[in-house]
Amino acid sequence: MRKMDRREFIKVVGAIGASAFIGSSFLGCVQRPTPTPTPTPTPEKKPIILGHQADLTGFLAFWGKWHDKAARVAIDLINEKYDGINGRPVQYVVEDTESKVDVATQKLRKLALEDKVDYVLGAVHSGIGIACAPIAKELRVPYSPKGHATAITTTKGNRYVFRMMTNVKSEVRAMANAIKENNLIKDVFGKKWVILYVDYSFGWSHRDEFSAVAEELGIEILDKIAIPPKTKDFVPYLTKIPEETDAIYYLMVGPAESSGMNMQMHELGLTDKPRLTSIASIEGINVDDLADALEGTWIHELMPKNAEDFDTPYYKEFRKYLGLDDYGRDASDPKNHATMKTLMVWEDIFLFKEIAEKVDYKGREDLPKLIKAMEGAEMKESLEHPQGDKIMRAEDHQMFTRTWLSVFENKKLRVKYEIPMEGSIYTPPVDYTQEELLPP
Amino acid sequence: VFEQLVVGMLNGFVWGMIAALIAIGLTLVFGVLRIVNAAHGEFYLLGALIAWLFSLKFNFWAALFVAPLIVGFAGIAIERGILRPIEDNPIITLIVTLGLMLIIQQSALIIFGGAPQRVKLPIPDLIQIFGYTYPVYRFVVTIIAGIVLILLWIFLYKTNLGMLARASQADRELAMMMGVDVNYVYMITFGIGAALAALAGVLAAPIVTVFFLMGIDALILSFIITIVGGLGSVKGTFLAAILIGEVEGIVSVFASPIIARVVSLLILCVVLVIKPTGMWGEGD
Repeated sequence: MRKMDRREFIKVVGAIGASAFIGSSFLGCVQRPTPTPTPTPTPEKKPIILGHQADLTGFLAFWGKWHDKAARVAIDLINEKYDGINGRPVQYVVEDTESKVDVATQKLRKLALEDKVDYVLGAVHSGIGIACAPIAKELRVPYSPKGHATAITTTKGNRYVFRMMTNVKSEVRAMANAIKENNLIKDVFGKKWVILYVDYSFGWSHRDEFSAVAEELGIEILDKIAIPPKTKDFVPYLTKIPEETDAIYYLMVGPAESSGMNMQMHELGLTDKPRLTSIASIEGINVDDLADALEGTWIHELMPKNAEDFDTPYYKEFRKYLGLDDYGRDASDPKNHATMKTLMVWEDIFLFKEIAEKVDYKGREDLPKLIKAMEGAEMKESLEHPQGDKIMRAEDHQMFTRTWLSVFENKKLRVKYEIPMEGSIYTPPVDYTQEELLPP
Repeated sequence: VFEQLVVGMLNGFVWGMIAALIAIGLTLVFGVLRIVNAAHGEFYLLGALIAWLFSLKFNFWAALFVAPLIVGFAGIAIERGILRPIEDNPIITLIVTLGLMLIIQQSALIIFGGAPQRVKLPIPDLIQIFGYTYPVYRFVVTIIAGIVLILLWIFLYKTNLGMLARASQADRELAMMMGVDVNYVYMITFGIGAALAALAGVLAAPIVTVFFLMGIDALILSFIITIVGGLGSVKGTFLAAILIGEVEGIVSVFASPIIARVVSLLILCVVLVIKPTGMWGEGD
């Protein structure tokens, strides 16, 4: 019998590594949704094309699949009830980023050059948003990424990039505001904090923005601990938390990682300390299963998950369209919790519709008109904008609106404070309106 | 820093012991059968899945006995039914085990879903080490893994069957000529390898997340360990597992864990250059 020698073994191991890598890439094929049947355009009614660069597979797929659903529901509604935009049907083209930056940049090019889309809803991955901003400018296509990292509308943005949702800077400002107004440092949190953050652009933004408000809140940051994405065992990081810590600010992303981290904080007894985080840290996980571990966690929310504490007729209707119950769960499968950021895809599509109608948008030659009208756009609370009144600030293309601060109490997320839009506003660090605007 | 170092070393040791169980299974199968078993990580996944099911419906501790038994017999069936006819051709066995890997992994996805699952700590107690809280369960993990490794050593060096296994590893033809039932030895070895990986899966389940892709991570880690330790050398694999675990544990105290993985890959490169047979390997 032929024996395998060492050299051969190492070759084989290399081959397995490569195959495992390729194999895992093929996982992208799993659950790939079928394209929406779009209305066939009649010759005189050329459709308006909405592109969606969505994280349908990969580590952010739990967000991507809900964003895709919200986009489909909103576009169906526009085509059926409103007779399209300016009387023209809306066509939906979705491309999967695989939650990877390099794939996403190619997909944005494909949407802009091949599909000739009129507007691009962007990915959740902040790194993708940052990498795609200059491409949007180069291809002259309006791009609205769904990443929260501050840089997208500060140092890395441009006139073609809009962020139709809050960012880490405005969210941390809002949190700090609610904490100060309600005296929570003294009553709940205490002065000595530790920051734990996932080690990529989204986590860095949280680390930097929360450190920036430390002085204002009169707190001391004892340590900032980076945790790599896809970590499974958190004990090595959690044991670095000094004993004298009063409160923990953390940011973790991904269902496996979020549930793992919350569970292990609980196992190590760290849940005695109050914790503060963004809704992003609990998106895509079944919070009912983790209720014990999450007790006492303060969550900054974009829209209250618990509609028993806050509801409006518009929010009710939105949930009906998306098929959600009063606690942000899929009504037909209560183990499946929706990601709350899904609402921002919905509102984004309606913002585009409102502005396109306002400027009588006919096609990509009207892009300069569209962008100018989006700058400074104001929106009123409605079915189109259930989150509330909001503005798209002209200078940095950043949206501002109200948010909420809630806490897990008796195994349920309860709304504590509504934070007005004013609490989140900061001076615009840039002015994109000075940039030259060219037709495509 | 000293306190953190102790905790880092402790955690590195826990991981080293778990990794040793997985990697020794891989190295045994390679040493005796000369098969690179790409499906080895999936036995680890199966162990973790069984632990999850048991902790949900019955009792976690029972999985410690049941999972290695079920997976061990599954391993025996795989060796007897699938690998036996092709055992002489290393490339074909590799392709077949790769196929097995995908079949097991994707079946787990279809049956149990893609959502990651957490297994509650079976021993919720914590102890204080230099002011740091540490779960008691992890000590129990090292003790169980240690006992199993001692039993394995006794099996290999003190029993007749173990001697036959080592004989088949040293020279198959000669062993056959001396009347050793090589096929039987192969079957048992493959079963033991699978059972060890499954046991590691059970032990790791409450520490990591049970997820259908977890087998690949385990497979890659065991490849690093077996190459550093020396192919087919059980002692070398054990020492390399502890070494790699400790290096990653200690380095991640001072630098980010990404750097820790870089350091262990560097060790791999250095070992390949200086002593290509592995640190404790005997050569081909």
